[in-house]
Order: sequence, then C-alpha cells, then structure tokens
Amino acid sequence: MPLTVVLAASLRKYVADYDPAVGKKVDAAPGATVRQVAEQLGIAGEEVKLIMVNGRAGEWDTVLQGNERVALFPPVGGG
Amino acid sequence: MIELRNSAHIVTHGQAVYWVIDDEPLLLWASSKGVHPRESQIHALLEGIVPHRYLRNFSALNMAEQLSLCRSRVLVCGCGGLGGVVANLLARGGIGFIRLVDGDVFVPSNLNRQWFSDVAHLGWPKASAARDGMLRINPLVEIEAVDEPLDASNARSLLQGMDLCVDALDNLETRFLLDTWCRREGIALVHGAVSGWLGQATTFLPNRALGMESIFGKRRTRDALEESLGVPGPTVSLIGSLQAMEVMRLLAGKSPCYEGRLLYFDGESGQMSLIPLA
Repeated sequence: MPLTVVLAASLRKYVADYDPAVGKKVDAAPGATVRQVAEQLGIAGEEVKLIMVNGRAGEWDTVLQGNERVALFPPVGGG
Repeated sequence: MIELRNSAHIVTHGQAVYWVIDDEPLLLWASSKGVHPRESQIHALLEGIVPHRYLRNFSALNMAEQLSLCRSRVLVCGCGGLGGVVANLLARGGIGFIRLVDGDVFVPSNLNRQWFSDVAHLGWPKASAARDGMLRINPLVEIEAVDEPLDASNARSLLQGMDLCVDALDNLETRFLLDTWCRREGIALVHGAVSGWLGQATTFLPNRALGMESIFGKRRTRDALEESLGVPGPTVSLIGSLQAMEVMRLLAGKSPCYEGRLLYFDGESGQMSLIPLA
C-alpha cells in the first residue's frame, strides 16, 4: 500500500533521496504500523516522540490503511 | 502635582476615540513621584489614558488587557536568537517588568539572527546589551539584566515573583532544569526552539501533567545533525514572535494557543503542524 512519509530535521539522514517539498513515497505491506514503516526506512524509533497520521495524533502502533500521510517530528533544541 | 489628564490628548483610531499620552509627561510624572516609569503607564491606563506608544495594540487588546500587560512580570531565559525577539516584542508591548538571563557575550556568529547583537556590541554580555536596547525602545518598562547562565543554584530566585517564564534557551539540559523549576514554582512556561528551517513552540501552564519530556522523550542532549543545521534569522524571528504572542495572550487573560500541543514549523515545505502532546 502506498504512503507518504514526512520527515523533519535529523531524521532526513536516514533517507538519502528525501525531498522536503513532497516527503518520501513508501510502499508498505497492508496493515503495517507506523513502527514497521519507520523500520522499513531504517529510522531509529527512540528518536521520535511526535507522530501524526493524516494530521491527527499517531502512535508507533497506529495501523495504517494506505494512502496516509505519516509525519515524524524529531524535536529541535536550538535558540 | 502633575495631572496626567492635562498632558493627554484625544486621537481617533479605527472607529474609536482614545485619550493618549506621550512618553515625556509619563516620565516626568514618575520622576516627580519618585517611582519607576512603569508605574506611570499603569496610572495612566487606570485613568483611561492610553500611553500613545501602545495605541496600535488596540483593539487587539482592550484597556484592561493592556493594563494587565503593564502590571506583569516576565522572566526571559536566553537573550540570543529567540530571546532577543521575545524581549524586543515584550518591551514594545509594555510588559511592566522583564528579567533577562543569559551568561553569554555577543560574537560575530550571532549577527545573522540575534536582534540585540550589532557591530558595536560584539563582546558585550547579551542580557545587558538587550536591556540597553529595550530601554531605548521603551523607557516606560523596567528591565533587569542578569549576565549569568541559568542553573540549579539561581533558578528559584530568578523565578521569584514572576507571572510567566519564556524558554528561549539553546540546550536541552537547561530547558529541562527550567521546566522542573517552573513546575515547582507554579509558573507558566512558553517554550520555543529552532534548528535550520525548523521551529517549534508550546505552552506549559501551571499545575500541568505535561512537561519538556512530552517533546523530547528521554533525550537530554541535542542530536549532532540537528545542531549542525544552524539557525537562520527568519526561523528565530518566526518562533520568537509566536512565543511573544502567546505570552501577551496569556498575560492579557486570553486563552493560550499552544497548550497541550506543539506547533511545528517546517520552513522547507512551509507546513505548520499542531501536534497533540501526551
């Protein structure tokens, strides 16, 4: 099933061809969780606390149906 | 005895008519009474006279709300990128007492984004330089500069008597320390952080369940790659402005925009997300 994964800041290092304007198109197994999709991209989970699926709060165990926009937000800390 | 009303005049702004008064008679009034100028702006507002410099705050703010800002006391932790923006806007907004804390001095690499850094102030302590700049902007407010870093030994005394605190720091360790002390002392904390084209802001009210860990999890140091993204001027100006807006809303008694949720701005896509915190 097709998904769009949106990554910010430090997470982009995991995806070489990441395009910030459109995100990363991913083909995941039907019923995959956010965690499984992140693992598929090689993203280390403990770095991320903030997850949204189609603009709503998501979790690592949120089950995806296909065509969602999964956004992972690693926090920033500078000032 | 100087009566403020005698120095005030009437102006029309929008569809309303206001009595306004300029800085000079307010400063004279304070001097004649032997009080700080911030008392003069409070006195004027109580008499229904708007200090002329705040006229364009109306009617986004009403008289009672502007009065509330003028009576408020705010601690700004960090006077660099975010802190410089927040401090500048709070001084312009008329926040009566602003305490600035920063242990750093201005260096050339600050000049791309830190509003109170300029060629003449390289080598100056940031808090003191910001205080001087703010008093040039608004002599009616009281500014206290603390040219030391916030740490466990001074956090409590710095928070003493404050209505609200602004997190404009640049490292996670001190952000968590500040969060802990704001919780203990029951003081609202307006958080902001940036990196590269990314920025975030949220509000922690007193007596809250959520804290800094709801954003950073177990992480207590910044990711090296995240840190290497640098900080362009527009990112701090944007997030600092949102923090200042939230501070003014809270002090005016309005509802916060970012309680329980993190505003996350991505300047590479233009997207702003509101992420629920838990």
